[in-house]
Amino acid sequence: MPLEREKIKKTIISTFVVLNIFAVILLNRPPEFIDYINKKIINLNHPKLAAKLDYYSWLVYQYAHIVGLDNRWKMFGKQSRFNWWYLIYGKYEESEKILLPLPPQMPRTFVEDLFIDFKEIKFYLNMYLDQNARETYARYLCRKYPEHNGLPIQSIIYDLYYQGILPPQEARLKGSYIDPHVYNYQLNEFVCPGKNK
Amino acid sequence: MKEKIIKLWEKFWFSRFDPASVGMFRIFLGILILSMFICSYFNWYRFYGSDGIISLHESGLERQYQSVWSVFYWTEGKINIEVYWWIGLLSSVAFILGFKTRLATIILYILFSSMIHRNNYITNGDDLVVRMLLFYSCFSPLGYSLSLDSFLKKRFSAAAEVEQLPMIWSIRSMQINILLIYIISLPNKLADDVAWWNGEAIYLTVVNTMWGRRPSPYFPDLFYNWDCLLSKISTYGTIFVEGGFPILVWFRKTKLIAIVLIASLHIGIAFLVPNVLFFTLAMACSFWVFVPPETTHKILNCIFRFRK
Repeated sequence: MPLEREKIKKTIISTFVVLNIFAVILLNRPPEFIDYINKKIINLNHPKLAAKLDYYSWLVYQYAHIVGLDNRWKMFGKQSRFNWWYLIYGKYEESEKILLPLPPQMPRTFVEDLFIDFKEIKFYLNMYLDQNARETYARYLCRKYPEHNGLPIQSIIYDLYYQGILPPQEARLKGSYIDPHVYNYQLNEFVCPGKNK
Repeated sequence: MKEKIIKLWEKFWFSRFDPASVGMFRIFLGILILSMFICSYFNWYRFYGSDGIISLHESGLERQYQSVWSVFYWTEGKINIEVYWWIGLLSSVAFILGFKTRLATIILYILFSSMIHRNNYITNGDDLVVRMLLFYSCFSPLGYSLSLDSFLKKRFSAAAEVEQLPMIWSIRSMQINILLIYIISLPNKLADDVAWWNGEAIYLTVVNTMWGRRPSPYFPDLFYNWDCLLSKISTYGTIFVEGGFPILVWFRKTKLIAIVLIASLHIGIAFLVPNVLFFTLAMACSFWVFVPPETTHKILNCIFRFRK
């Protein structure tokens, strides 16, 4: 390869690798650092520069999103002090609520649990943080289980159950790491599309 | 000074390398991806189908979650979603064998990207890690060793033709991104939860039933008895290994021990937290890109000698 072409190739590759590393770092800046930088930019009192910076960081965000470098790496950062789970019910016309036959609320073998349902936990965790996700899933469940014993579905109910995890000292005293009391409340009831509550 | 920096840059990114370990990385990652496709089969339509969790037919709430960066979105109604599963399965087999490696890698990357964009709710850490690895793999010489591609090339090309070793830049990018995962997540851990300071983090992880079944119902008891000794050892051990890996992996003397420790940590996580099995195995696969080629040759020699 002629020297000049090799040089151009290496320059392009260098730009590409720097862009990728920069994108990962940019997307994983601590929130405090983002606030600090934003304040600094505002204090510069240079709206043109601020707009330019904003635009270029938006471009990097878009690039990272498209190629898949926009992950935020936390890896078990925050630990839950609760064991929690949903029970998702279908409410059918003129009937009690019926527990839907979904993988996490049915008896499963170890293999099913480990391999087939491997995305369920993260799915439930993502739903926990996002009411729209629960509503979206409720709509899917309305479509999937439209009737029970000939009765049409009315709504989907999410009941949240949780148990406190005891601090280790208390666990040692009680001989159990979990609070025996299970608390629960109805988190949401989503009326199926086309039905009246 | 400027010349020295350029020289160092050239050496770091553009030196030529023996990609034997990259071949092992490809095989292990391929097996993992194949397993992920097989395990996804039962929920494929529910997760990605046009009438699945995120419907493409409804005009309301779901529409805001539909990303155009997914081939599923553009081919809806034209290609059955199950076809993509078969494409994924066949591409993973081709990827493992190293047959049409570059094409298989690009197809798998597009598929993983499409899966993530199609339904972000069910995106796991393993999807994200695999997509990141596949992104860099698209530019990497994955088919250069331990592959059908290299076998066929050697067999059918002229004997005198000596192939130049590949440049390392794409593998370096992958290595740096893998290390950034630890460099970023460790301070996050320490800042987010006091349990990483007082040694209770692994206790809290292990007793949480959300992360999967335990080998025995009494298993979590081990982590709060004896003044949380086991939890403290594993919590501080995790911090030490995750903190040390990004530094120790660059030195010849400590490289292997750092890789063995971090791989053991991830295999330990797979055992303690079964529901993150694929994520932790994806991380474990990625460590092959750090393994010195001499070590890979030794391992391969041992395997083949043993088989003979």
